[in-house]
Amino acid sequence: MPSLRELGLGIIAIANQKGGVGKTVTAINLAAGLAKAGERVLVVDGDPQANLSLFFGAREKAKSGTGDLGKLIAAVSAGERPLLRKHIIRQVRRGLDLLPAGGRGLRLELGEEALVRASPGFATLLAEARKEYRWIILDCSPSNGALERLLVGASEAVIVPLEFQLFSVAGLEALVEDVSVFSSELGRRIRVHAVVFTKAENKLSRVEAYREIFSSYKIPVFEVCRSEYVPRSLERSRTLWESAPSSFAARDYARILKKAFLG
Amino acid sequence: MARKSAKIDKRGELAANLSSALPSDGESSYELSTAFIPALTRRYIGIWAVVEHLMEGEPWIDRFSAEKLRGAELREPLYRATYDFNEKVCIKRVSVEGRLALAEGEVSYEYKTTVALDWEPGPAGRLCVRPEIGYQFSSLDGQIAAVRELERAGKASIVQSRFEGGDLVLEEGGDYKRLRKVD
Repeated sequence: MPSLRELGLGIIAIANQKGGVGKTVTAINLAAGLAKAGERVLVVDGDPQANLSLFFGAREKAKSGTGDLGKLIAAVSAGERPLLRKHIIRQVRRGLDLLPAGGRGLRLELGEEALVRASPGFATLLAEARKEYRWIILDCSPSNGALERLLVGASEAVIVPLEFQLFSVAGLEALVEDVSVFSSELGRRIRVHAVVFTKAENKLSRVEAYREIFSSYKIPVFEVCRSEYVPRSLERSRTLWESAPSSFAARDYARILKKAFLG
Repeated sequence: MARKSAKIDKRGELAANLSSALPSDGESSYELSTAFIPALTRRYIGIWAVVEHLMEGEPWIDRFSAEKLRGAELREPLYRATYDFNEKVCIKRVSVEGRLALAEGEVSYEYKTTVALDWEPGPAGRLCVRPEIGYQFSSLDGQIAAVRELERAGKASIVQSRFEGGDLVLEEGGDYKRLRKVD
């Protein structure tokens, strides 16, 4: 399996239209894990619920005048050329910067039209930011609207968190179709790079059936086990690398970083 | 019951749709959570001897003679192979002994190969296996005929495994092995 590094890709969307599948936890631990490995990383909170921003303490860390993703998109949509750095909170962890969400206004105030208008400019901004950041990790919103289109459309590759559950797998199917449509509209390939079964456990009978099905697909599939350390670390606003680095869940994320990213 | 089979049908339908939607040019790989690997690994740990080895339905030793010995007759062949599964590494040892009928007369023949394999259990009995280091050696009448170091960190392959009674069955393409625990 060629890694994202080997492929020269660095703008990675963590996406699935189904909510509650572990997108934010995956984005946090992959972004923080890359930063811990010495890479320069920007993590983008693209979910209006702003859980990722809350986790990294965006409200407390923002200086007066710091923008956010909502303000950035509004400016791009208005035809301006905003400076990405004015919207970023520096060093939420060593080597890791954050573009916070900006709350519910991200979707409600901007509206679909503004998001569609901003898409090409936003993609250009992120592509230019690759000069500073080796990795840009986008935590996408659980929707199939213009916001998801803007985020996935700006990415070079997608990682899809899933649960062993029918609706979650249906979310993957819908996303794969969307990615294919976005790719042909943009005239460049957005790679569906890997699937991550989060909250994996052996007890459920359906798990083996999903494993059998997914192991035949021509795509890397990873599991991250269900672990009490995950909610506990979120409660304490600490990454798995900080709170439970030897837990199985941390080892599972470490393996994704090693094989899918840094390879 | 009807509801359960409807769910399975839906799963099958989704699986088929996804199969056609996902990239077809990539590689299949499935990494179980590290939390589940120790329990799966334990079943394999130990030394296993090959008690039956077929290649596309033919005894492996016949294929070996035909391919490695360029058709020279190997008389009274003795084939032994073991797999020593440890937590991360499996040592595969193969040895073939016999008398080789050459134009200039009969000579004793010995072939050995030892390979250290990196291995990990996957879903549904799949084992991901990758040769890390190894060598092959052959001798004629006790004189070394060839020694070859195998390519380091070779290509990973997927071997299908299953437990049948006390035996472990390994299959990879047309290669079929039945192994029995020796310790």
